[in-house]
Amino acid sequence: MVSGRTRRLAAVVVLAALAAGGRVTPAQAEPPATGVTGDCLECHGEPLTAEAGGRPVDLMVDPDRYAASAHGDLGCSLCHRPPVHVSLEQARAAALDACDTCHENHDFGPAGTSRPGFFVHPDPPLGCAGCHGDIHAVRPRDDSSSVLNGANITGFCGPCHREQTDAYLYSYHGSARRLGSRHAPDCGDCHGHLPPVSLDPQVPTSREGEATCLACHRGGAAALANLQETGREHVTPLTTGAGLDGLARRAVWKLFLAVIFFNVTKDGAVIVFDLTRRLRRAGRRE
Amino acid sequence: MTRFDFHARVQHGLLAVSLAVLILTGFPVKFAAQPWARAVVRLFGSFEGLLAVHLAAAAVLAFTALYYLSAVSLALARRRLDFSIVPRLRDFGDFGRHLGYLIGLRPDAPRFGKFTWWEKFEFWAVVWGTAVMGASGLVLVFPELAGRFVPRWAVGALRVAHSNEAVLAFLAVVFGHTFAVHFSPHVFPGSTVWLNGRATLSQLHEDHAMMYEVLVSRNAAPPRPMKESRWVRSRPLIVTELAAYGLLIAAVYVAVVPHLLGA
Ligand code: HEM
Repeated sequence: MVSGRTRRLAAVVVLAALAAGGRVTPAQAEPPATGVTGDCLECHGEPLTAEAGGRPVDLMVDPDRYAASAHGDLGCSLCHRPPVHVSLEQARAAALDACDTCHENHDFGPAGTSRPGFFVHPDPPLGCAGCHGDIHAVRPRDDSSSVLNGANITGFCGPCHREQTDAYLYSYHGSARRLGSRHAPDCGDCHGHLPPVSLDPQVPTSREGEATCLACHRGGAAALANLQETGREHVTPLTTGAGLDGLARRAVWKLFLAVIFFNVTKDGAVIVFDLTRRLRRAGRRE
Repeated sequence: MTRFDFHARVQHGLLAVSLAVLILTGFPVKFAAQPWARAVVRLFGSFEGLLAVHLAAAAVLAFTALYYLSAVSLALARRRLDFSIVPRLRDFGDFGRHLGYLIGLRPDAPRFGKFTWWEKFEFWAVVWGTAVMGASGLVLVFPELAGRFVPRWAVGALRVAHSNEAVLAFLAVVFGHTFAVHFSPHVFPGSTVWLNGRATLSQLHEDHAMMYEVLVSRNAAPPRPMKESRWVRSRPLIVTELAAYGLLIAAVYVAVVPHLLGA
């Protein structure tokens, strides 16, 4: 059993590290002694609820899921810095602040355009857990159930932004990403994890429209104005209400389906009739 | 009788290899959601490796096209270009007469010249397909350059064209071409024209009766070919093929028709 003194000591170590270095990467962070976790879990490892604003709040952390999570060896006090038994809002705000300790720059923007901090999804407002799920059960990136896993790359956004994520998966970006490309962007690479620079729905990327594409398509400055004026991203042959963007894709798609149908019917007829004719003939003279 | 000269055989070989590799490395991108797509990507190490091989094979295809075009230009300059691959009105009639014969409405098979209607069809399908794949492929490889001249909606539509022309080419090979040169019992297990350039007398007699008669008139062939391939009378082969092609055709219909008719 670890004493309360050790627990306080661990907290002091973390706070000192924060004070000295500002931001701490996981490698630098001194994980508090695991006993700290054990102590907290004595109460929080079992069903435990509190009431806040008239609603029950679940305060339980499943010890097994926590231990298996990406944060499983960090220990409680890395995020829940003392004093911990404060009002729920205070505790939550303090814990969210702590994400910054490791996930210092939660944005993929080029240097100078990003602002350290957290994406606050504007409407509805979502914190980290809104997209990443229960922070106490967050899975490592290479786990197929992680929202960050390549196989699940629209996991954050898909449930609400179905049309966009379907179109993304149809796109070259999405296909390449799904097949493990490290260069192809996912949702966050263009939209960032920051509040969009502009909340105008026409410009929903985190950087100014052009910087978004030019971050990768460096030679594309001359093409950009033309491309932006003549169509948009996230369109498939099935997208309706996208004007020429959807219509042209749909027309080409249907045209090819018709040609494929024609060609297979033509070849199929020749094959089937040729073979049946030969079959009759083979039978006749045997 | 020689049907493919040396250059034609090399061009055919390059086309076959590049097309096979292009299909192998392109389809996983189109069907990225399928589990087999990841398995194919693993063969190439990474997605970037897969795409690099796709582009290398595209370069081989482009080289083949240039090779072919320069051979054609040379023959044209020497006034020795053979125009018999150009479709004529007669070929449309041949198509109808051939189907009529296969169905049993006509007693005799139509007599074809140097190229049958389906050979001409396949040839021009390859010309068209290479042009479409080359043009759309270049737009996909150089979006920054293409985007200066081509509107965004057209870039999107060209990607759809690239994706679907690939399926069309694949199916044309699987059905039309493999049957005509491998599985049709009179050529089974495969014509050797692409290897040594020559067709057998009985194949020539069945597919190119008019050419065969030229040989007869020169006393280079008997009035009727002496021997027929034993496969034309093999009922197990024919029945197996009917079942296999029937299933494949049904599978394509099941995959295509709902999309064709759907919203
Ligand atoms: C007969 C020849 C070819 C076949 C069968 C073929 C097949 C394919 C297929 C099936 C895809 C996936 C399309 C999709 O995402 O839905 C693809 C993608 C691609 N191909 Fe080809 N291709 C051929 C020739 C070419 C050529 C000549 C080039 C270059 C000049 C090219 C460049 C590309 C590029 C850059 C992509 C990735 C872009 C994308 O998928 O949006 N391909 N190809």
